[in-house]
Amino acid sequence: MAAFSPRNRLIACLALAGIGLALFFGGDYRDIPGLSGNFPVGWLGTCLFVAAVWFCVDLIHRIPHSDEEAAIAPGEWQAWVGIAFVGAVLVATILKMHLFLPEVPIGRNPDTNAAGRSIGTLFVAWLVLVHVLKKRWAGTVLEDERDTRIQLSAGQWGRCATAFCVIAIALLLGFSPTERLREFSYPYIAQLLMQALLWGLWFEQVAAAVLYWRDRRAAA
Amino acid sequence: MTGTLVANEIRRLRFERGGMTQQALADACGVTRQTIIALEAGRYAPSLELAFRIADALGTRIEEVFQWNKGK
Repeated sequence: MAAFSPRNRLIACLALAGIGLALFFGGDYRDIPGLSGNFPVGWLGTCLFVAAVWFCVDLIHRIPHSDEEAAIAPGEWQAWVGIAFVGAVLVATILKMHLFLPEVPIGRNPDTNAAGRSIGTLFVAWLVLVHVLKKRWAGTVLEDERDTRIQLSAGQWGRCATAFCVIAIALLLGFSPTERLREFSYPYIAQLLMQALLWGLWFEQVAAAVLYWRDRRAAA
Repeated sequence: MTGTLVANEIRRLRFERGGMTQQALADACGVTRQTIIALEAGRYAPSLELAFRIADALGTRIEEVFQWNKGK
């Protein structure tokens, strides 16, 4: 029954997770022909994504450790997973930036509240996935001095990226004409600062993954 | 991590000691197998403590396992 092997089911679950993400990015509400009223597509996408990730994790437990998997350090797996999730959060925040333009506190803006909940769900799914992956590697060394050194280097790249983004925001705010500045609400500037943090975090994950990959490729 | 000036004989010593696997050496030293792979490939210079642990696991002296290629 190769069609229903854990590996094939994992591929199917990953496809479902992709569909969930596509719905998540598609918008919060959509008109579906044949159904009355707006359909909460974004919310359904989030649920589908989280459920698919959950089943993926369950299936990962059933798949025997392969040589390919063993060649990749736990730290590298976590870096790749981090790239995917933080990347998804970044794309989501960029797509929803316009929701922060009105000069309304985030807590009183239902659109920004919905966006925040969806993005929060992605972060929770990421944390759960990392936690379960660590359980899969239970009994093995998850981190040693080489991982610490890679994390240090990656952290420096991440800090540089954050500093670069903060400088970019400062230049944007400092050198924009007054008419343009009026378009930037305080919630929008707050969201820009959050973007700077997210870019730093994402860049850190990318740097870690590249450093691990370079080591692995040179050793092959 | 770039190449290092610290050369090592880990691979040769593993095979001389009954074909000790990378995983077995990693477990004995408390590191991941990927770190042993990176060490053997000369991609990583270990800390002094790890160097001593590797030498101990291979049952030899540290200078037999690691050499410094200062002229390189």
